[in-house]
Amino acid sequence: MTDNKDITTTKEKLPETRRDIPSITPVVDIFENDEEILLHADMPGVAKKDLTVYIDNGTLDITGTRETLKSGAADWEEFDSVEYRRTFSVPQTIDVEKIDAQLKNGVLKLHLPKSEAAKPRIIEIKKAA
Amino acid sequence: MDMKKLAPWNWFKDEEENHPYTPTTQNGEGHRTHMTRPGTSLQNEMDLLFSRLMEGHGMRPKAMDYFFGQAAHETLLRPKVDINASDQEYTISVEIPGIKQDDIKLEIKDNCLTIAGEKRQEAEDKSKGYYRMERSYGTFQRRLSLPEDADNEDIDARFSDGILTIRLPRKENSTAATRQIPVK
Repeated sequence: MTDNKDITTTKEKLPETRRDIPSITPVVDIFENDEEILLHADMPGVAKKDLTVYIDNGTLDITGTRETLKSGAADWEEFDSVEYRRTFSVPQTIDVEKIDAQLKNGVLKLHLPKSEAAKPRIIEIKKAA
Repeated sequence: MDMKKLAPWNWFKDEEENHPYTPTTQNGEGHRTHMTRPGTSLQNEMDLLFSRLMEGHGMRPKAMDYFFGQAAHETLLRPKVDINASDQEYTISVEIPGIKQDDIKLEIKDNCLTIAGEKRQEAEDKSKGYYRMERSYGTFQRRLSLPEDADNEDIDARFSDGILTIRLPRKENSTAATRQIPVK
């Protein structure tokens, strides 16, 4: 069983990698059941090619960039080109090989399955000889 | 200096009139971009000053509206919008991640464009215990007052990667009928 406290979010900014694009933290929902941890991140405007999901040694990095299209003079602006960036600590019990990532309608869905060893199970009691 | 420069088109006229508790120009969420136009810097500064005055003009006791209005409409989400204007068309972008194309409703009535819909939580997710909830669900709505030269008939909307892009061609201004008034 996983200890929930293992997934902690680190909001501190990582060194800037892109020139003048501001870095923002995408909002996420995180769900958990016995089978997996499911993470949804809102990243509107990010295309598949501009998204990177990187996991290494218990650290999950999500980075995505969006360039807003500007045709003509901007009249009103509530959102702009940004780099979405967020880092999570994931429990070691995640089966890295089976991680599944999908990007649909501007939302990244990340399935992080728990390894067989980490799943709860009933231990069969053998008859004593 | 023409009138347009003096009073930039207020896309949020309808929102301000009907939903006064969500001030669009004073909440710091968005801003009118300072355009680089031909003209002296003094003229530009005048324009900027004027638009600020205009914004300030309709100012309401913001805090009161916030407390009394907000509670009743708590669930109504206001997605962010960007508006661009070129010589040929207006482009409106709305940030609505996680919404299905079929759940977006676009309506034009009396030169007012309503972008509405609902962001639903998937049934699959509901069955799981949640650890962190930062995203918002519920109905969303934005209302934009369209400028006179926007061609409502030729509107085009696309949804991709969680961003809804609406294109509105601009009618030729010069063709507006000129009427000669006889002096009696």
